[in-house]
Amino acid sequence: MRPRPTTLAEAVRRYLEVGEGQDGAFSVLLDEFLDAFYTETDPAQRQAMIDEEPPRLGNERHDAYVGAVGEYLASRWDLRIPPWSDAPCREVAEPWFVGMMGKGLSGLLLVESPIAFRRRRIFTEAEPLRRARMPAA
Amino acid sequence: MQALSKEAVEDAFREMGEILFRAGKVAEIAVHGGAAILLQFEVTFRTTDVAAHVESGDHGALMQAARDIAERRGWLLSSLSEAVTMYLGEPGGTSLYGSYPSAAQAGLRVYVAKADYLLTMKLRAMRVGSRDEADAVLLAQASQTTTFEAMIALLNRYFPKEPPDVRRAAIIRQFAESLNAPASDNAG
Repeated sequence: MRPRPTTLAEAVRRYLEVGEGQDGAFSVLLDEFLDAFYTETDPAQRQAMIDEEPPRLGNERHDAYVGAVGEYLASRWDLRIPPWSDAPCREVAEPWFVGMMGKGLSGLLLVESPIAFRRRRIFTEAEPLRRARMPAA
Repeated sequence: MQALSKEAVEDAFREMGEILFRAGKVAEIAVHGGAAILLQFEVTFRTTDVAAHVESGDHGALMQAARDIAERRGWLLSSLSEAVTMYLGEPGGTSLYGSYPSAAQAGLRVYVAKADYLLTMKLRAMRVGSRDEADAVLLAQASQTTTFEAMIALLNRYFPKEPPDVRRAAIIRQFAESLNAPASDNAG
């Protein structure tokens, strides 16, 4: 059985290697990475978990979302924002309200979406990376 | 992708049950989250976690057995008991899934959260834009809970003291509308 990906880059690499095209694979791998990130308590280790640039997926939304995840985790948990997250490929051209409810909740998401997502034209909820294991800030 | 399978989870339950039975102990767990969905539905690409709540029995012996088996199998049962506790509502949301290694020699009884109960927990905590949405669709259809009113009634049944706030109610209403909308309306 596979262990959790321990870096954001590893989660993306694993998606490219074995998960691409499988329903929900991107979300599962990202969630597993988040569980590993939230379980880690050492800030230096957390920093290392987002520092490496993930490979590009060639999917505009996924690439932008990965950039937002890197930036958001850094700002949310008082880490350095990884430079790779600021690359132009890490944003979408058209506004993207995430998920099956995104358009219907556009008013809410416009208000709530954190800056790391909003500046990439990604509109999501206020705490988009929360997990049961996420420690209290 | 080598995902956790229903058969592999049941094998682990059997192994845990044998360890506990040999030690003269009986424990009961209630499985929630992705593992509960895995056990009851034909789904793929679940997490490697088995999130469960210890209902009764020797907690220490159970956790040790779980750790040993998880380590041997390379799984992550670290969430056993803790991760889902905060979401548990009124009793009645689980049903007996199986006794292990057998009904006659039970060391472990496994209860599994029912579809409507799992849906309730998703509705309370669903992350917009995450795979929670796909899980919630599956559970809503399985439990035939497809309208906003039915979803609110479900929440009132399992969490009568914790009605959804305005924001959460708006999300649930939108979920119900999206669930019943033509597929093309959900794109994006």
